[in-house]
Amino acid sequence: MVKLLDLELEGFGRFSNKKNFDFKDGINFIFGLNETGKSTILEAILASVFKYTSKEIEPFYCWENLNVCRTALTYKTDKGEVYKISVDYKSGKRKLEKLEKNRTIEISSVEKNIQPLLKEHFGFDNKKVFENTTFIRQSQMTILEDATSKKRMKDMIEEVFAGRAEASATKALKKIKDVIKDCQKGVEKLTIESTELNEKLKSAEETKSTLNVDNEEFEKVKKKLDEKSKELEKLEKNKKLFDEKEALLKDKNHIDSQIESIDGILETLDEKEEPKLVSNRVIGIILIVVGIILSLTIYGAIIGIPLVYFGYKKYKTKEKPVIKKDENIKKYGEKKKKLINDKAVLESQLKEYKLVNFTVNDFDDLEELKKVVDSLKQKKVELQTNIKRTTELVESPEEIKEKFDTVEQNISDLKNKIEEHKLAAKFLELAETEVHKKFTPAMEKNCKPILKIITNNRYSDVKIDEETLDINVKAPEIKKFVDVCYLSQGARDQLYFALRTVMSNLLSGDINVPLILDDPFHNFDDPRLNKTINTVKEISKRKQIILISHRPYHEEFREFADNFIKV
Amino acid sequence: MKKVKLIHTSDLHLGTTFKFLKDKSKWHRSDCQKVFSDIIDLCIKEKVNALLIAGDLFDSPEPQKSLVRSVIDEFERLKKEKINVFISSGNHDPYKRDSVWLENKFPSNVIIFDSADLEPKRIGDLTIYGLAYTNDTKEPLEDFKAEDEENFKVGLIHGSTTNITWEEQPEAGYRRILKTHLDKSNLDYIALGHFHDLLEIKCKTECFYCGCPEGLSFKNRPDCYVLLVTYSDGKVTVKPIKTNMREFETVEIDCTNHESDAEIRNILNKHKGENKIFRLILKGSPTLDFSLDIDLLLKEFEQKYFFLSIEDNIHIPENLIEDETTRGHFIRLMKSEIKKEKEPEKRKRLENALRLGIGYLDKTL
Repeated sequence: MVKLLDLELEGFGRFSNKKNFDFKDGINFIFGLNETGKSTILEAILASVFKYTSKEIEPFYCWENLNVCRTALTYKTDKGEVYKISVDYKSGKRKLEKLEKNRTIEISSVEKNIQPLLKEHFGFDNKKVFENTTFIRQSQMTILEDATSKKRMKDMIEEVFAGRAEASATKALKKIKDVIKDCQKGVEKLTIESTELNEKLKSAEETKSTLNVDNEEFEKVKKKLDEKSKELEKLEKNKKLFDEKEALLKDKNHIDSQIESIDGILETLDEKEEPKLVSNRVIGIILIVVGIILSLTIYGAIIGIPLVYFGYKKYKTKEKPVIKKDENIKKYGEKKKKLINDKAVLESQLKEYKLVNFTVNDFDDLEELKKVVDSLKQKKVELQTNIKRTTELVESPEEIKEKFDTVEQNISDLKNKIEEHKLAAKFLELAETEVHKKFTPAMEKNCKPILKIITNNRYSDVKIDEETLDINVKAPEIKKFVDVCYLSQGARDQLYFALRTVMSNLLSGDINVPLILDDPFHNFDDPRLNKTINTVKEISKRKQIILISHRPYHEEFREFADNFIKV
Repeated sequence: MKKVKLIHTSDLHLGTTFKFLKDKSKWHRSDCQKVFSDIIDLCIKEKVNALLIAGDLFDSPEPQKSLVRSVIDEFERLKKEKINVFISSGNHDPYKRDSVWLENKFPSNVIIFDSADLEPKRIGDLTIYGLAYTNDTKEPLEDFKAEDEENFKVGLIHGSTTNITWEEQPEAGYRRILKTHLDKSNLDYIALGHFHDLLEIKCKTECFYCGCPEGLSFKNRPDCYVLLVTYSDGKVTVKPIKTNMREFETVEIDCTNHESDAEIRNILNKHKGENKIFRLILKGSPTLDFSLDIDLLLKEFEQKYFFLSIEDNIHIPENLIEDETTRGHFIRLMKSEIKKEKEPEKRKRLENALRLGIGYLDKTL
């Protein structure tokens, strides 16, 4: 039986000055109102046995005494040897001493040597597991009041097995399996995506090959268009030159013919006598006179009257101006001079076209060529828009391949995750089975005598299902095993204490460590409390008990307690 | 007074796929193109005489047409400014049949070296000795000595100075350049390509690897440069100009004494940046209380980076508590399985399974 003998605190939590707590065999009842430091004592015990990290110890630094923070726990091992573990939290140093009758032997102050020894002495080297196994807390007892206690008790046993409060292999396995399911769904989804991408990739590759054909065609058309455009450009340029020359020649010819006609006029002007001009009036008068004379005879009048009429008309006609020959010659001379000037200008312009020697036939193909260039231009635009559209619409195979690779990578990541979770589940199941197999028979066996004593021989037979951890107790009235939920509240409490006592021994590797009751009877009524006191008393014969409470009526425990410590 | 200004770049690897960047690969590929365009801007701004590309402009000898087109467009911009471009091909874009160099018409300001030996090209006060990359074994500077002349004499070479002592051993084999070759080259400046980080090669001539202008892998240092090389009064000055858009960075942390992922979160917060390509490598053997959900961390932090990867290289600690609880039994079973497994990958998977199981048992997951 491991027993705590003495706890010394200094600068730890509420205890700024050095303070000692002595522990005795049996029930050690630590009483104190809230915030007096009861839990600090439990914490100091834990901190002595299990190395706290600086973060864990920080809340226990005493702000009234910042220089010191230390504990020293003296205990007796299963083998009856007395040790003292001293911890200086400021320096982080621990020291293990063996106390013999008249001397103190320092065992070690090297961490890596201390930890295994403490594990040997206390059976645990993990604070959480130790706490979970040897502490019974208020909430755990409250849960036993629940009508569904069969499941509750089972859960709590599992928790103790799992080594962590409110944890269990069953819960962990359920979570792992949920994750696996989710991952598998993810893989399914991604596989569909990957198949789609693969098909998309194939079609993109096809499109790319048609695109390549289009691209080649485009390059060809572009090249041909360039050639033809150049050809056309040249031809059009020549045509322009030709047209210009033709126009110049036409102008020149026109001037030539004008000059020619002026020459003709001038020639006739030279030859011609000036025309004798008889006045219209004179002719008119003559015609009138002759007409009147002719009209003197009846037949003559036939001619005479019209003659008078014509004569009168002639008389009335305006006289034409008479142009003088000299003036005409001068006028045409000037005109001709101007034309000759124009011609000279044209001729000098024509000189520049000396090398332009085309015939109309040279431009026969021009229209045809224009048509060819236009159709090529159209073809080019068509191909260009086609290529652009295809390129914009369809992702490039390289891009799809990249997406495909990413999806495949994600699938393989998920598969890895599934694999890891499956492995975890497999070994967790194995571990669970192993623990159940290993401990349920021992639990059954060891629980019986304790149960017998604490129930005053009422219950003595317990069966625990290896697989389900269902707990059945033999009811003496009907001589049949019944589910725990059919037991009375008192019997349930007793069974629970019995199981916990047994389990802490089993999990510590058969080291009988103290049972620490952290105010578990907080809201018990008197009958339940009295029954429990008896149970605890019984257990205290086999195990040192540290009981903590803040409830004044728990002072009733004082009578039963072997050691009363008021904080 | 002769004054010549050059920009020296190399190893742009345009068109490369960054598989490790997953869905960001496409982005970073276009980043590289953007940086190339920035270099063109820089050439124009600095009014340089020429842009030198010391190999691996393209990641493959037959890059995508659209890429080549856009590169040609960039060169056209330099042509307008009367800036020449000299290209010595590299091992990624070697000069061979059907390669980008022979299949495309480059603008007249672009001079692509097509000879297997170093040959000079002279433009104004500048003489560039370059060569085409035709095989992996030729030692480009072997038996080479530049002619004596007034011009600024520059070598433009893609190759590896393997035998020159320097800290990191570069990949060997490619076109060895020996220190003795460099010393007797009679060149004023040697523009090298092949290594991806800025590196000065100490020899009798000014000799530099400019490194890639945009990071290509986690091997890259965070900052990348092009070199502005000025020749004036017979003196050569080399000024690195930072060009990278993204920053590659790797941080390793030993999680051995970590109790939670708080420290990892600290680091992820401290290093965040929208242009960071960040890799966090977790090492060490933290206790099983240390629970790690990389997926969760990635989800939380990847928005704060251009790209974030967390590599899990942590192992399980030696002294695991194998008590009588289910937890203890689980640890024992897994440990013996891990011990049996020789293959590192499967071993790591078992270690992860152990950590996972404990995480679920302890409800930290």
